[in-house]
Amino acid sequence: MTARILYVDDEDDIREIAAMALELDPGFLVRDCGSGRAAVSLAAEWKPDLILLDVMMPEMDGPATLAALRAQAETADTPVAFITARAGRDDAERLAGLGACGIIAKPFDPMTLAAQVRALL
Amino acid sequence: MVAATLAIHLLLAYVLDREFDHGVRAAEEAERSHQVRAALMDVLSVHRDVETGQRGYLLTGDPEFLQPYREARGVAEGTLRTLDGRLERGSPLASGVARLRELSRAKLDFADRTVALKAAGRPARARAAVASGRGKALMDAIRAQVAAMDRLERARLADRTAEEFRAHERTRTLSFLLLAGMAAMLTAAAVAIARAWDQRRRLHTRLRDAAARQQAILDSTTDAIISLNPSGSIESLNRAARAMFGYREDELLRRDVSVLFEIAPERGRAMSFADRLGLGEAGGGRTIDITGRRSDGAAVPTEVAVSPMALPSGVHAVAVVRDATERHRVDRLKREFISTVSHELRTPLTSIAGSLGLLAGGAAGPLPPRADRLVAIAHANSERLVRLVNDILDIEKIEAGEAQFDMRPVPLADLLGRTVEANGGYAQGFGVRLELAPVDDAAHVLGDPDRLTQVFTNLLSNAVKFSPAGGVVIVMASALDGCWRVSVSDQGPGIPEAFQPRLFDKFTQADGSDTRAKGGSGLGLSIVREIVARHGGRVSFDTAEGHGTTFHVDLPRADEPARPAASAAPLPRVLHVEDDVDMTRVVASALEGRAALTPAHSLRRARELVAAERFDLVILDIGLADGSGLDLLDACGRSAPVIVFTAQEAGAELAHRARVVLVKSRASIGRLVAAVDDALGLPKEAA
Repeated sequence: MTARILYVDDEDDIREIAAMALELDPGFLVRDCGSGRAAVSLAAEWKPDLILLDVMMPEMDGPATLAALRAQAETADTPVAFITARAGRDDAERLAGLGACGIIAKPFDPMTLAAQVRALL
Repeated sequence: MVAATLAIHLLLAYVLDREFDHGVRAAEEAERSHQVRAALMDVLSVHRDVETGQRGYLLTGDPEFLQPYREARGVAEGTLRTLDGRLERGSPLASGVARLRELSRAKLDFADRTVALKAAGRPARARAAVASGRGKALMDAIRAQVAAMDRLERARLADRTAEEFRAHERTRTLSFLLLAGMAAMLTAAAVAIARAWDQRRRLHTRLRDAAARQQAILDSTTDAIISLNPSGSIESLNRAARAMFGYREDELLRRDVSVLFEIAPERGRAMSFADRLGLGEAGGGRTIDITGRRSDGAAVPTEVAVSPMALPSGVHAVAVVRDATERHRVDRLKREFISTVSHELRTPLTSIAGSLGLLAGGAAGPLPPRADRLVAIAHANSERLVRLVNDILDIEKIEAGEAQFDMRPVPLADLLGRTVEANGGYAQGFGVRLELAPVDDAAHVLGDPDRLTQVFTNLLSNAVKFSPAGGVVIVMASALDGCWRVSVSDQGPGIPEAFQPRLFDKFTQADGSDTRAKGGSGLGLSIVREIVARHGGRVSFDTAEGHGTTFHVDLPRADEPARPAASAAPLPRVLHVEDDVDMTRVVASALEGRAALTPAHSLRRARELVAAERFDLVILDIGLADGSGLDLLDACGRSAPVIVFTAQEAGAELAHRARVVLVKSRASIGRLVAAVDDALGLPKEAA
């Protein structure tokens, strides 16, 4: 099953590695972008099946991006998972409360990342 | 000295009184002596008057001369009586007076006779009588007698006076000596009083200096120091205390300490300050955080150390109070810093570990063998760095009380089963096998399952790392008073005694090289201790160098303690012959709920018990202080199965005589429990 995954992170290196890790699953079509603002417009246009959102980003952070995604009709129902370096339980609960379908902790295991994401779909 | 002075006083009074008596007596003697001598003169003078009158009349025939003659003649006897009356009893003059009386009588008779002859008109015969010289002779004799007696009396008086003088001299000397003694004594007393007074003054000065010095020290410390009476009223406070709380000293003296701290006010019960702080009687020296209250109502975070001060009036307390505002601020900054750094570290780590993970996983295609090895090393170490950062964040969070614990009843069998399974692969990497002894399905502890998994994962990971290849790590659960004890035993080298006190400190492993060799963060046991403490449990360990280590985690039980003994069939009775008291305790706790254990710490005691009672099973040590357990083997063997549990290597012969032979080590308790279950026919519970 082919799925479109949009990976949003301000760190270029991590974006690149994550894209490579996700592409280990041949069913994934991956695109990435480096800011929440870019993600909102790209998602409206590309209509991904799942958006992976970094939490700590300059200007527009993960939760703000999620709110913006929910606010626009094209992405109002798109599943969003957070990917974060602050993956403590209270952080996880807070993020889950915002309407995310999953939390992936950084640093992630690149060899199992695709499987984790597949489980969220 | 007082007694001596008093004695001298009395002696002096006695001596002076005697001297006064002597004086009075001497004066009386002198007076009497004068009167005696005057009476003597009177006697003489009367007889002269008689003679004068007699002669005048005889020569002139004029009766005029008879007038004085008759007067003197009339009082002559009276003067003698007067003299006699003035003599004291036994006076040497008494015989003289008798002689004088004879002479007087003769003299008067003679005078009377001559006067009578003249008056009868026979003057010639009267003249002849006078011419005979008898009258003169008598008169001379009287004079001589009087003179002799006068001399005697004078001599007597002189003797008396001399003796009195000597006595007086003696008294004077004695008085002088006594007075001198008294003066010396008074001087000594004065010196002693002066010295005592000086000493007192110096002591007083020293005390005042010491008090001033102490106050100066108290006032110069930056910590507030408050002393309290047994019920918690403020007795004294130093300058820092006044400054910290913004009060004057007189506003606080004798007020209850709850004025300064948010603690329960005194309720009239005799409750010590330490009690009210929840420190208990033995709370001295411990430091606790309490919120202080300034006079303006502002709250001050403080840390208070209370030390008891036993005085005759009761147990007072000294509270040393430190303003903790700065410490709290620094702690917060430190936590924020660590948190930020750790999160910042995670970002580059994500890239590094991610890249290496992809390379090592072959995502970029096959690598040449040497590059593959290098990438594997880099990958393993990047993962270690990730674990370190995670552990640092974990412990900081738990210590700061920020970590949330989702407490609920956790089934132990399930928790331990999953943890052992999850770590099986890791253990395999070290050639170590994990073994879980059967756990009661009903066993539940109160805890956060994720955190408890973390605890047992850390303990298992430690046990595996320190086990020799081919070793076994045993996990078992046993019921303990009000809790469940989970024990993780390894067959590693044991913990060196010198290291044991620091075992739970952060960043410690038995030696620095081990930290690298074992690949741990050095935080695992700190995290274990913190998490278990937050569960209201405790961590302990048994270890013997060369014989492995067992960590025990005691957690509050969430199930009803199983009491098969009380309700259902009584527990099987097991005799444990073992001279190591600690070992009997360990085994007793491991078998709790399974069997009723009777320990025997000597061969002699074991013999008595075997003779007197019936046991379902005997656990027997061979090397006992007072003999060999083998001697008991046959005696026991007839009535009950025997499990030999010994540190000695078992010979083949022994294996035939006992049901099971186990070689003792801390790690073998799990096997012993299984053997006991087997021997007693207890059902094995699924793990």
